[in-house]
Amino acid sequence: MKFRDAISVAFRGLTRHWVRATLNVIGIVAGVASVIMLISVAHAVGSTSKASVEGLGANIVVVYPSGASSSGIQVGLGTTSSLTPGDATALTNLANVPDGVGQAVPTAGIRTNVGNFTHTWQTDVIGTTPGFETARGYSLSAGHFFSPVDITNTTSVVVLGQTVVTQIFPNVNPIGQRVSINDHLFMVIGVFAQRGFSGSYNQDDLVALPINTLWGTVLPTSASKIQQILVQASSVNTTSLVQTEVTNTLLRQHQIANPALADFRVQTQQDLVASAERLGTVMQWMLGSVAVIALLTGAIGIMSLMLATVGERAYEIGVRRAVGASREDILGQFLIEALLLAFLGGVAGIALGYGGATFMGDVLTDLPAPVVTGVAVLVAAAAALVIGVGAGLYPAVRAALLQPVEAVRRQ
Amino acid sequence: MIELTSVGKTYGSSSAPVTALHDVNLAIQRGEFVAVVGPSGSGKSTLLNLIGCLDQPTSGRLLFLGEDTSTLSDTRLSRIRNRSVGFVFQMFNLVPELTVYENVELPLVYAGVTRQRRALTTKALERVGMAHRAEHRAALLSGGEQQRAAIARALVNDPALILADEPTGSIDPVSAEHVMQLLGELHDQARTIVLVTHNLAVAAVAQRVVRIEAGTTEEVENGTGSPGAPSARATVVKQSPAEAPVQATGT
Repeated sequence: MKFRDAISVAFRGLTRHWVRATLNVIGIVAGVASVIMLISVAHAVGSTSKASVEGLGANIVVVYPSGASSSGIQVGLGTTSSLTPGDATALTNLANVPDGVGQAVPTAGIRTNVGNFTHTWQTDVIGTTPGFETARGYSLSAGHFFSPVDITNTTSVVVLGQTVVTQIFPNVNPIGQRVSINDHLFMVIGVFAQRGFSGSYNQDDLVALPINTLWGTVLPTSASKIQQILVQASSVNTTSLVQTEVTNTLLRQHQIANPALADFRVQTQQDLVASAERLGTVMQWMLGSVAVIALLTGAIGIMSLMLATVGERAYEIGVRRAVGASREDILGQFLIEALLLAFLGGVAGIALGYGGATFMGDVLTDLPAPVVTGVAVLVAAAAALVIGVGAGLYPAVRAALLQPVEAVRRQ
Repeated sequence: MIELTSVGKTYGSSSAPVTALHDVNLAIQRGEFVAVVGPSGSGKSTLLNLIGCLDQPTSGRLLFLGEDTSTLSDTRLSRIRNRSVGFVFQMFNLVPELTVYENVELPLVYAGVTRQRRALTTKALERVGMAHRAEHRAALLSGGEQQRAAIARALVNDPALILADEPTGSIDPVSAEHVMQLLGELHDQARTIVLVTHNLAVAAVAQRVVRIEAGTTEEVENGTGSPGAPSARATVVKQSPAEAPVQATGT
């Protein structure tokens, strides 16, 4: 039998049973699309959290409050508020660190809506001090950053990131305009220069304001609670020295003798990148297993459908055997049918998964936009192939081993 | 052409065997038209399936063109069915969803014929007067038409042997006459025909009639077997005057 004929026989087999073929394809499409979408989401979450800590800058040491002191059970990052404005002041004047530790910059923030009369945009609202600009490596494209005076006077001023400007002041010079955050009005005194994305993390999507102002207006319930303190070392080489100094200073400040009972954590940017990477990997494995279960379900469905097909088509198989089809011919026919299904389902599933991931990115703006990677597509394509061959092989073998005479007798 | 020596066929499990054939001896010469007669369940169809290499004997030896079929691979047996045997079944056994044309070309597809496929298929369809139905789906034809399509399929590869299993059993008398006429023509073109039927009038077309009966003890000429054996037996009840008497015996 010629290969071209084998293909056309298999193709005719599918078109003659098109309802069943369609159901098969849908099964594969669902599995493949879910693999692509889940892997893309996991990838996006992982790379975004990694990028957001990378955006901190390499010389940064970060202090988090931590609830480890009393119970020994770690509560989530930043959920308690053991850090005070006094700690930030103490860290600004670190002893024993050669050449220049910059300011210690406390931050607190919330993701909320920022708007004017015509536009609203959800963004990260960050309360901080003037040192934020240098510590995080931002510069201003217009206006100026708030000053220490603004901190002490709790002035209602904000500095906007470029994304926020585009969203709520599309055609207006924002400097001097007012914006509303949680029913409080603020004047725009500056605009950050564009920084673009770090991975899928948008570094221009933020609003900064004096930290005392934030506590007084937007976050009255968490007043004086600091979510993190950024301490900038002079270079990457001194970060571990700064890390040690920060730890010792805060232990003294909090009057804690045993470092194991510390109610804060001090991490370098490298630690954070590593843990973000771990988080991403865990996410990928977790969502990956969900996708595998989806695929498995699809594969089992396809196999049972194909097995039913073999029983139902025993007569046809018998007729083909009687006119000269060998076992290999029948095996080939059923395998090629399964592969054609896998191919169709795989292509459609990749398209649907790609579309679905893009759609999720458009609709769920709270989540990082899913990134469809080549790996995700490759994994999905391989999955379709494995489903096709795996689910098709056993029924094909069953079909091939059918005794022709018994097959003909079953009418 | 075909030679069966002490051929037996048992179906089912070893604990509950069903004996369909037992110790059948039969030789069919090239160009013969042999009718195998006997009541239902006597093993006629089993015998035909064995001769056509659709099935293998469980005992004894079957030579097809001098080759012992029990030693042949599935691929080789498939090739024999494809090139040397044309089957005509009582229930036609066309693939119902395929067109008449697609059914008839099947043996050529499995033989790997490509260039001449259309010409040969069309010729076979014309031969049985079914060319005008080529693009119809097989399931939608009348029984007589389906059987003619099945005959076209059986002869499209120009096989030396045509095996017909109650070819007139499911069709109207006019069609039956047409089918028998076609079989007669095929025989006239030097093909070997083996026809299974329980209808003696149909069997009368053949040069030679072999009787097969399960569980009977009928004495047979040239027989050497033991009477009383509950088995299928083949008996020659009519010899072709043109042919020298050939051995064709059961038990």
